[in-house]
Order: sequence, then C-alpha cells, then structure tokens
Amino acid sequence: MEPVIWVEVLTRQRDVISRHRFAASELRVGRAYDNEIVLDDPHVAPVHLRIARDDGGSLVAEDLGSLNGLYIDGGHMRTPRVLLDGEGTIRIGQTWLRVRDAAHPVPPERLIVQERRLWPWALPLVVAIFGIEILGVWLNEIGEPRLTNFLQPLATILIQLVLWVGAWTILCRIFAGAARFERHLVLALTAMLIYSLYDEVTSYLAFELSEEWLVGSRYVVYWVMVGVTGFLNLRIVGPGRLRLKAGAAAALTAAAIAYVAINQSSMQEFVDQPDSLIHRFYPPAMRLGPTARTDAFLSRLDGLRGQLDGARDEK
Amino acid sequence: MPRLFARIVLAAILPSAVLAETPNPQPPPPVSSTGEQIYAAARPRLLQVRTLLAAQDKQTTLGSAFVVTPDGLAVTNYHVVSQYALEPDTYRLEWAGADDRHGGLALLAVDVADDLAIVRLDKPAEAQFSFDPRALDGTLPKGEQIYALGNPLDLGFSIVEGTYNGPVERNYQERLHFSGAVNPGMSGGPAVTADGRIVGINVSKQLQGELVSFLVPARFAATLVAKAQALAKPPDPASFRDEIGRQLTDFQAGLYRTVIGKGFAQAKFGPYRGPEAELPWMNCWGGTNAGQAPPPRAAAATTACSNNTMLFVANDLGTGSISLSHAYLKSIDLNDFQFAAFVRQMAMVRGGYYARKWHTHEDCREDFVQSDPAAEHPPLRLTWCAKAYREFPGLYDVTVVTATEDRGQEALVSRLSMDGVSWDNAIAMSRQFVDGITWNR
Repeated sequence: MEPVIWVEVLTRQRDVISRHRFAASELRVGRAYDNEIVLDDPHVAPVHLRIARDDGGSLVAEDLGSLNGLYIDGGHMRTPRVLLDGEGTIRIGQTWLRVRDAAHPVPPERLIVQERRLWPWALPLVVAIFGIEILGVWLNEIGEPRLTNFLQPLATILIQLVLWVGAWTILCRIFAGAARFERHLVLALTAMLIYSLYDEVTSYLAFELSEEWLVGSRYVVYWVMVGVTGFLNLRIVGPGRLRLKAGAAAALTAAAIAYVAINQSSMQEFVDQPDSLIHRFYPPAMRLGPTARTDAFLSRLDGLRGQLDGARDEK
Repeated sequence: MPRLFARIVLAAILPSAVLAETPNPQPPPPVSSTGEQIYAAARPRLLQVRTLLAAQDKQTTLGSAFVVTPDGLAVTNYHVVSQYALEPDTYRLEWAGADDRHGGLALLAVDVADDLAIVRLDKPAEAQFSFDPRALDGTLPKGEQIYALGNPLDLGFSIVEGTYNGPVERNYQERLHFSGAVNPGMSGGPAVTADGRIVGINVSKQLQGELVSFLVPARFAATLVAKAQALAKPPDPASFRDEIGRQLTDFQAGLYRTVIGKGFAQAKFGPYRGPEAELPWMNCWGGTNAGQAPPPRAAAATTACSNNTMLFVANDLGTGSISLSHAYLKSIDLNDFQFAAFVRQMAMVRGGYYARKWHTHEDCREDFVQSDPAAEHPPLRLTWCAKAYREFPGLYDVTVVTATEDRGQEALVSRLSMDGVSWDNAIAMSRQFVDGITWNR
C-alpha cells in the first residue's frame, strides 16, 4: 500500500479547518508557493516545516530554520524536531497542525439515536408552575381579586423563562451547532418547579415551626439552583470539560450568594425591618408543631436580651 | 400713609407729652395694669437661655429661665438644655438678660421626668423670684389670673395673661393647665400670680387646641432647686448622660409599678376577651374598617389605648409611652387561607428607617404559645420584638403582638408597645398582657 500522509489544519479549539492528503513520502509547509501546503499565516516562514518519515517509518516534523519555530501541542518549549503520533498537535506561527497516516485508528460507527421529543414533559411542568403561582396569589388575596394580581407573577415567570431558555438556545446553536431548545426548556421548567415547591414548603414550615431561617436562607438555595441549572445547560451545550464548567458555575454561584449576603447586611443598617419575621400565616387547621407555654417562651427571651445588649456598642 | 402712621404714633405718645407740659408735675400715676407691674418687677430676673454650638458659636435652641436664688441659680426646662446635657463637648450654654447683660451657664441638675433643669449664672443675680406657697401645697384656686413670662419666638421678653385651670386630669405626669398662649421660646419661663410668685414653669401647649398650655408645678422646681443647692460643686458635664439614663430607669420603674400593680380589665371582643387598661390616664379610642371602599372582605373592629406620655429626652428621642390595642377580625367572604393572610397583615411588626443614634436594630422572637391549655386561653401566635437604647443601659423599646390561632374565620390580634422599659418590666407586662387574652370555646 502506498504510504499516505494526512495533514489537518486546525483551529485554536482543535476543530479541523481543512484536511490535505499526500501520497508522497515527504512534504513541506510554509508561506511560499513551492510548498505542498501553503499557509497564509504571517508568522509562518516561507519554508517552515518538513514532514517526513524517519528510518523506523514514523512520521516526524522538522523545523527548517524558521524565526518563530516549532512547538508541541500546548507547550512553550521550541523544538527542532517532533515525532508525530497522530494524536497530538503541533504549532507553527499561529497555525495548529495534526499529521496522521492512513493506518490511524478511528472509533466504530455510532448508531443514530432519535433524540427524544420532550414537548410532552413541558406542558405539565408549565401547568404545575403556573398553577402553584396562581393558587398562591389567590390564597393570599385579601382585597378585591384583580386580574393583574394574577397576570403579573405569570408574566414575571414567563419573562424569566424566555430570557433563560432563549439565551441558552442561542449559545447552544452557536457553539454546538444545534439549538436543543426542548432540552433547555424542560431543564428550566424543572428547576422552576422544584424551587417553587421548595418555596411553598419552607414558607409553611417556617411559620408552623417558627424557624425563620428556613425563609431567610432561601436566597442561598435559589442561587445554588441557578448555578446547578446553568451547569446542566452547559452540559447540554457540550459534554466536554465538565470539571471546568462545574467550577465556573460554582464560582459564579458563590459570588452571587456572597453579593446578596453583603447587600442584605448593608441594607440592615438603614431599614429596621426586624430580621426574624415570617412572611406568611396559615390557617389554624394546618397547625403542625407543638405550642409552647407562655412562661417558657418568655424565659427563652434572655438570649435576645444578650444579643441586643451586645449590639449597643456596635457603631 | 406716612401721615396716618404719624398720627397713630402721636396718639400713642400723647399722654406723656401732656404730662411734660403740665406746669406742676404730679407724682407719676400708678401703673395701669397688674401685668405691667409684674413685667416691670420680673424683667431683671428673667433670662433667655441659648444653646450654642461650641465650635461655631451659632445658636441651636432658645428658651427662657428665671432666677430663684441670690447666688444665681435659675430654673428652666430640661428640653431647653438637653443638647448640652447629652453632648457637653459639642454645645455650650449662654444666658442673656433683658438689660443686655449676658454670660455663661453651668448646668447643675436635671429632672427629665418633669422636664426641669437648674442652671447657675456666672454672675450673682440682682433679684430673684420666690415660689407661691399656695402653688407648692396645691391650694391655688382654679380660675385665678396668672401670667406667663418668657421670650416667645425670640421676639423679646413678653408677658401673657391667662387663667390657672389646676392640674390636668387623666395624665400620668402632673402638669398644670394654663389657658393662655405659650409659644416656642417661652419654655422654661415662669408663670406667676398677680403678686409675682411662681406657680409653674411654662413647658408646652396643645397643638390641636386654642390657648391650651401646660406648666410644670412649682413644687417640682422647688425640690430640684433644693437638690442643686445641696451640691458641693457643679457636677461634671459629662456625667449628665448617665444621670438621664438613671432618671429614665426610675421613671419607668414608677410607671410600670402602677400599671402592673393595677392590672388589666377585660374587654369583650366576639368570643374573645382581651386586656384593657383601667388607669384613668390611659386614653382609648375605637375604630372600624366598615366604611372602607372597596368594601373590606373581613371586618376589623379595633380599640387602641395609650398613655399620651412622651418624655422628651432629645430632639429626636421621646420615650415613656405605653400603648395597647386590639383588633377583632371576622371574615366576611375570605376563605381560611385568605383570612390567615388578613390576620398576618394586622399582626405585622412594622419596621422603618431606624435611627442608629439612639437604638440598636430591632430583633424579634416568635412562636405559638398558650398560657394554660386547660383553662380559657386560646393558642396564640406571639411575636416579641425589642430594641435596646444605646446610651441608656437596661432600657428597651418592646413590641408584643399576638394573634389567636383557634378559629379559621375569626381572630383577635392584640398589640402592646412599651417605650423605654426595663427588661424585667417588659417581661412582666408581656406575661400579664398575654395571660389576659381568653376565649369562650
């Protein structure tokens, strides 16, 4: 079999721009037109690189005395000669190259899996989210019921949904070549439903168990959920580099939580909204926890006294 | 116009012109009114008290004062000198007489509860006032003409005639009712009888009324003067802040001894009963949301009682008030969840912008409580909020709010607010208040 050399010109992200087949045993790369491969990179010498087989028949690349030299994959060490294994890339000037021979193994054929249609999931999720929201508004409506009272939260949800899903769909289309709209939509809806249920449950438990922190710590859960959802969106865009994506999502989440926490504590300096107040009452029939004796409650207040006395000296 | 003006001026000075032309001058006629006599006599003993910024020499407060001893002790209101008493490094005090004499003042004693202060002039006094014995033992008859003196609105020393109307009824602090105009700047000035003896000290007026003014009874001033005379040397100006804290603590001790000792009466609200103050100086008012538009979906009948006491501590700090209120709520067409939201709205502890100058932030505790499950006490949602006074250790502003938690369609929301209360008194009041909420099952 005639030895064949395949040279692939790659992008910085290692995607193939062009692929060249050579039946010769040796070829040269450079800017000049007497090369087998002509590159338009101004940082490449007229005659920059020679690709040939060594005595053992392996492919090697040799620097032909260029100004900018030859580098291995992400390395910083200039090297005169590189043994090419078909996996790693080399760089000359600002051009990435990969050289393979005809025997280079390729993975087996993948079966085409029909992507699942996710529409049927989206509808019940939307109904559940909107239903919880409408129920919440209705159960808290103590004045004249107004259509706007119901429409406003629904519009808010809808806008959030459109912005989030729209942004991810566009990013996905740009970077992955496919929009994957349904997957992004169902992911966002699922996250919204989980948070909405969590919101209801904590609100109820905070009142019944008099545990204000359940409501006070909500923002942490909110941002963690935003972070996790963002990470899952990134995974839909591309399954590679998951560690990096998880790290970025975690860092952004932590930053958001820290920002909100700092903001809340600085607001406390101006607004005397007592910070242990529960935001919703439930009917007596829904009572959950035990009832304390008045005396026991009042004697527990000594802790509050200590806190307030301690706060006297804060400036 | 100039002619008319000249005629009026002429008319005014005419009697003296006639007198001057009389060939045989007679002794001057007796002064025409009591007021004139009193003012003439009082003039050298009256002072204007100014609080100035120590650094800029600009005045921040004006009031009046009057001399009571030959060595220059003078009486004024605490609220006239409060800035200096609280921040002696920032402010200083100055007096000015009717005759252009002026000088510095040393603060000797304060009585925050009765709004009095004793100051000493830096020069001996030419003359002084004395207290009316009938005012000291409380036998001055209602209806007597008395005269308030002072420097209203910095317009110059003035005299105001009015009527003595005895002690104000339904007031925790003893104050005298004076039917005459007391204006800003007259604070700390004396109110005297026709023979020029002190009945009381001008302190305030009722804004909604006409000519309804108040005096501090003379005997409180006499007591404080005696206390100041007993001092070996003037106290350190920096010590007044602690002294004010002690007086506020003593004031609330007396106030709550009376309130807790008297206990609460029970008022009926639908199936509930709630504690109501029986003390004569607690004023109660009722209200309803029935006339609201759009028509309310739950009825709210409210009663609110308060002691009308605002103890002046500083321009931006009043304290000493107690108020308690009840709202009996009954659903009209709300379901149980909606009614719970309505109850919550009525039971909210409202925050606001808080003055960090005087208070810490407000913090709350809340839980379901029941005083005695076996007896007639309903389960309650109890919210207990407090903030501490930064400058006065051991004093707090406390708000207690309860909502009954036994019926889905009606509830009693009760609220007790106490300003400037000690922790123990706040707890004792809370217990009495919460225990006073009962029901018919």
